[in-house]
Amino acid sequence: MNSFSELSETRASIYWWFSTLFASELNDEQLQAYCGEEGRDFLQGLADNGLSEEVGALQQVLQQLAAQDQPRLELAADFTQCFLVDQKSSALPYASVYLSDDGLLYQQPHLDMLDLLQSEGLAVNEGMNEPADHLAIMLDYLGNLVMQGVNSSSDAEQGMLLEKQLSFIEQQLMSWVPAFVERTQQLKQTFFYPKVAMLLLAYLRLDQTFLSD
Amino acid sequence: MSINRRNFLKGILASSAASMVGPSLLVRSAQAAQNDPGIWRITGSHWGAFRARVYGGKVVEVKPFEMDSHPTDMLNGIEGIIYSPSRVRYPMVRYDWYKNRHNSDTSQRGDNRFIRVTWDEALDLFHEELERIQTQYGPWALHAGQTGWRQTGQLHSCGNHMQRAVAMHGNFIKKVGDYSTGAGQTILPYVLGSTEVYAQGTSWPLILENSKLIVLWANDPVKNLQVGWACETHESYRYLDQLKQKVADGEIRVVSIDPVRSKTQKFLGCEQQYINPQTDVAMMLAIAHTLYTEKLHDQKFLDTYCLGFERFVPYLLGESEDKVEKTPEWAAEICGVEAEVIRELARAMAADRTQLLFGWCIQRQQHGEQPYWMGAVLAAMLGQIGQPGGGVSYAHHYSSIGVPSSGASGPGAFPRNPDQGQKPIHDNDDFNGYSKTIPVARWVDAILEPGKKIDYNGGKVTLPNLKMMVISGCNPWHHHQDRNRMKQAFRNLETVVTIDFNWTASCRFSDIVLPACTQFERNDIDQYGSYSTRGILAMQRLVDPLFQSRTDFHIFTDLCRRFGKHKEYSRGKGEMEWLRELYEGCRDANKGKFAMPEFAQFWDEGYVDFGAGKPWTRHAAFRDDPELKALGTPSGFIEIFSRKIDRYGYDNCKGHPMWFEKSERSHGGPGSDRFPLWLQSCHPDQRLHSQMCESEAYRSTYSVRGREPIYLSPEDARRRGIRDGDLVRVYNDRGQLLAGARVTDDFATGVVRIHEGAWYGPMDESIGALDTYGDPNTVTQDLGASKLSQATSANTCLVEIEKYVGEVPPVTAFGGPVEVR
Amino acid sequence: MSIPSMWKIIRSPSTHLSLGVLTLGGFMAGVVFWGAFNTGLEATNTEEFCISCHEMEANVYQELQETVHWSNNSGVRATCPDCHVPHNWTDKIARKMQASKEVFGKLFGTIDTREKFLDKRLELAQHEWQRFSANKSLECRNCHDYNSMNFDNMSEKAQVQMRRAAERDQSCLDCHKGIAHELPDMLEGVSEAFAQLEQSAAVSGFDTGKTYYSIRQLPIYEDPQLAVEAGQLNAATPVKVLEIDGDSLKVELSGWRRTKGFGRVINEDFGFNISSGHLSKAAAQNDQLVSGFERKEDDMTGLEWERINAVVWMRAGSLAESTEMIWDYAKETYQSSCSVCHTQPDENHFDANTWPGMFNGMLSFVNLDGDSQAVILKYLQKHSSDFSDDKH
Repeated sequence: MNSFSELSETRASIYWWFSTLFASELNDEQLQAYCGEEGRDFLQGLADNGLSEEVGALQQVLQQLAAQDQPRLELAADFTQCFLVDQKSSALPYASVYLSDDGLLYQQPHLDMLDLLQSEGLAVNEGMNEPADHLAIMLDYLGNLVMQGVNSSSDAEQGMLLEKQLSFIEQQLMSWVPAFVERTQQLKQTFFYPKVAMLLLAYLRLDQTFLSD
Repeated sequence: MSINRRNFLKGILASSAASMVGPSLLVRSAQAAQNDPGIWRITGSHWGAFRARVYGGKVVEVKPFEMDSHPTDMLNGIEGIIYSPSRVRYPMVRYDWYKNRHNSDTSQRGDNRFIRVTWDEALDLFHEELERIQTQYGPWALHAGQTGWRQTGQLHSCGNHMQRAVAMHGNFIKKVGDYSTGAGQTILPYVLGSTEVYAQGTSWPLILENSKLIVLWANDPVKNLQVGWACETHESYRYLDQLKQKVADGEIRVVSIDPVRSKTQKFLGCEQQYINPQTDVAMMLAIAHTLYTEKLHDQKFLDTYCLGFERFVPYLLGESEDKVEKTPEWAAEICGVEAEVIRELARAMAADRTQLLFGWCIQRQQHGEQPYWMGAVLAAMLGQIGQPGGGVSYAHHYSSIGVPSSGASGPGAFPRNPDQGQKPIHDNDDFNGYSKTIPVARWVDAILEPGKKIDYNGGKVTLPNLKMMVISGCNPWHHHQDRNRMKQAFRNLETVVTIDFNWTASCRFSDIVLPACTQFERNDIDQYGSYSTRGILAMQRLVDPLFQSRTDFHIFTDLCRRFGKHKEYSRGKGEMEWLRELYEGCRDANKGKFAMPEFAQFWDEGYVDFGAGKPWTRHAAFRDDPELKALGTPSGFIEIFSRKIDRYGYDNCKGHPMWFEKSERSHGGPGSDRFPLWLQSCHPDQRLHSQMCESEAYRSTYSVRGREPIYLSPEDARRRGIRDGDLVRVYNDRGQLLAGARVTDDFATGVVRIHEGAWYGPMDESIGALDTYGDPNTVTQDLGASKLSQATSANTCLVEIEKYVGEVPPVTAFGGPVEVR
Repeated sequence: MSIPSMWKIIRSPSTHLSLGVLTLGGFMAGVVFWGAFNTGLEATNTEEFCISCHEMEANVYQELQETVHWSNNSGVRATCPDCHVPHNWTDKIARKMQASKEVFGKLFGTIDTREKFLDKRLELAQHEWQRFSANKSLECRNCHDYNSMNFDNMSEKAQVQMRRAAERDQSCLDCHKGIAHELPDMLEGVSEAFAQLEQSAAVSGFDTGKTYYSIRQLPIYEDPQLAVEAGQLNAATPVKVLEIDGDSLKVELSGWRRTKGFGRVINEDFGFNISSGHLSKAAAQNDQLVSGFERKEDDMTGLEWERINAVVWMRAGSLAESTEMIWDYAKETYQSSCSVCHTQPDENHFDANTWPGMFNGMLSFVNLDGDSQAVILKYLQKHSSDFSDDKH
């Protein structure tokens, strides 16, 4: 596996990791991982690559969480408060809310995502029952785009793929994720997920820079 | 491309990230591109019927139903209802309640975090609480009777589903009356022998043909007729157009007695007669005095059709009760209307055919029974009750009453009660000395003062010790008064379950929130025209329930499953079976009178038309034969004096209509020195109560600085240094709120208005917290109108306003980061 | 006629003349013929015999085949004689005598077309109903026994009714009219649900001196020929039968009326606006029909009331022995019709005089026929707080 493939895998896995975080509450197994060696290594890896500040904030919270009575429940409540209530209490993770005139759900960004998914031969898992412009879905999709680099050989092909990814990041994500992340910073009674959001934004910016070169 | 992540992740970061990455959200799909333009479906709503184009599983276009000659532009808010970011998307439980159940810290309600749960878990909790309440306390501790406007549709009528299911489990506290017409519906049976407020009235064609003077007393039909109880047809507007023409041609004189220049006035181009707020009865008494002293009243009508006039006259002449003669001069002081103007109006009413039309807002105040009673007395003195275009109506502004009824039968509904022979799981009918039924607006009193005995409509009610509430399709945190008092009360409740499709304030104050879907996500059937019964409408599902929302039918079938009664609850039938049955029942009822196609054809075509009805005059039958067609009063006649009420011995509602001073009243009344402005919180112009408030786009067409507008006069604004568009704090001893100032000369000095239905969004859960959006019920008083009706007194409310300075809090009622500088 | 030939003829009764024996002279033969007669009789007690007449075969026999007495889970089937021929000998003869009248009808074509049959159906049905009523549905009990009924297997609704019926050893046909053949169309313009109430509750025979209750609003007359209208009886109004004259009854209606006006409305009791019925102007003022007694002022209104008795005529029908079934129907209909938009108020939530106002205000929301409306209002008034001790 060449370095481009390796890199693609790494980048894709990070996007998928983010997707998981925004998709639903963490279960016991996943939470364990964060507190264990694997989790620490992974986070450290991210920190070492230019995200030390954001990762540091996250690590701090994780430490505090470990001392809590029912960490999984606390995180679940945090997740709910951050993303699942209404736009008064939460930061809804849908592009439509930030991009459409009325701030409604299921608007053009959702339709656009459906088209994009379909063009790659993908669709949203039916059981999920969420609009296609859910942040987690978009990140999952992005991961898949990145993964296409794993089997690429030629420079030209690689260039094209990177171009596609950059285009997606700039047009479909950066058009609203900053506003979304800013919203998470205003939320009350939250502690974990706003920091994840900040980390995501930082990572996206990093990746954007990388892709632009 | 491989979707199986874990395998590949065994690579680099692999081992560390593997368990931290969940399964994919995407699947392979070979679906071809959609290039159909979508399909059109038909459905209805409180705002009217419409057709919607659904493309890609999404509603993309809405256009009014062809039969609607005057569709309301509120239809623009329909998509905003379905795709609102305020949708309740998943079942939720208040976090502290989830951990500590009924021992939770209730002071956090309203500002607590929630945690998402599965449907199974949510329903299990719901069931467990019902069990606990019935076994630990008894039926008296459970209130599942609150009232609301629900969504439209006869099958999926949410209150019916909730009450049927809960009733199959156990008994509970119910309510009587409602917030719309609490005082009116209680007094009018004593006077005119029927509730009157929810009854068909004299047909508009007859009014247009015969009336020479129409008095709109505290009535704004152009505003209120936009919405209806069942699918609204807007047929009344055709007649309002004609009325407008007649006013212009000088054929009919219309006088709008109102402190505010209303939407109707502007539309009709009619006269406004200003009156000091809450003083209507004084003016009516003075009119009666004029009629009597100038011998303009119809003594023969009074002798033939009425009872007790002779006991009312002494009061009019100052010989009884307060011993004050009710002259126009006396009234002028109180009402702010010149004595001669009052006389002139009395003479005009007596001179020709006069139709009195009352709105409902006037009886949502302290002593709300009086204006309606006195209105009936005036009409009786004019002697035109039962004549086309004469007499009195209390409902021409509601759901197109006044449009003749076709005579057809409408469809039934999903049953609210359990089937005959069904016994609840907890058959305990012992309410421990508490009343089983309470006046609807006294539930907060019950929570705060359990066991208290109150007078109500001739009897006594012992308020129950409520521990749990189930709220379905209504929004008590919108319709009830005095928010801070409610906050206090809610701390005493152990468990609150709310079923709704939007994150209303009621949801925020609940412990278990269950996501219902909107009416556009299910199939249903409705009557087209609540009173005209113009036709039957198919309500075809537009899209499937969003997120994890469910139909109430589904929710409560599953609740019943927990105590083994789901088959009995649903009668083993699914949605379409029920619809077919309701339709066929309707068809049977109309057999021989109105032809209706078979169900399949109906569902396909979407609508059955019954045609227009024949004009009809209210009370004409009584006028024609008062003996055989006696009114439902104790005597069968119009009771100007009611011995029955007299015998109750109430100090605030006596044997005949009277002027009572209010606990707070502007323009020189009690309390006006501290809080000089009268706050009117009438029905909104661009919502149905609190429904559609969440629609951001629609709200932006009327909100000011992102807040609910408060309308005030130029003089009041000037005195306070307030300009149009300023942010203002509205306050009194009961609470405070932020609103956006709308300065307009439609409003007289001392009169301000905030439409009810503005979503409550307090800064925090503390009592007295500032409401950030502008909910008028933050400052209204929670007081029974009188011992007779114990109805709501929302419009007996004084406030002060000041320009808001200091750090501006964001709106916390719904929307995102609306920063106001 | 010789016995053998009679036998032959009876076996094949398609010849008109053969049955003339029974009708004209069967009994005259006396006991001597008893044996043969009996056998002959037995022959006529077969289904085959009954349906050999086209009138029976084409009408009621077809209808039977749609019912549970023809085809069911257990395969037990009833034939014509099982229900229609009394197992008891003398009754059998009596029945046969009557049936012979029917056969007469056959002879002379009284019901030889579908239309004629339908016209006569009510009369024919009523004969049977009277018979079943008189012997407490004895024929049903040859197969059906209250003591053998498994109530738990029944639906909730059926259990309630059946247990009560068992307790009183009630005549099956009180409720189960129309169990084997279509009901006569005797209630034109009445809703199906109400029609069922009528079928179940109406008695077919009357006793003088006894009080009955109108099932629905019924016309009343000044004369036994029922020609001169006198007004209308409200639903669930008690009337005492004074005289029976064919299909007409002379009844006494007691109550109170207000003296203001023409005095047409008769209320059940002093001060109660519970309508028993109303009289025409002429009848109300006719002291041959209406006797007046004491007068009192109603304190609640200041109006004067007078106690009266009215004696009128009415058709002998649509009357029940008690209000029980009427109230059952009213209660069920009230609960289902009046809970569409809100929970229906408890019956004793209002007093009797308040109910009319409340009720009138809500009528436009329900699909109730006039009779159901009248019955429900009366029910509400009679179970209002004035008549209820229940805490509310």
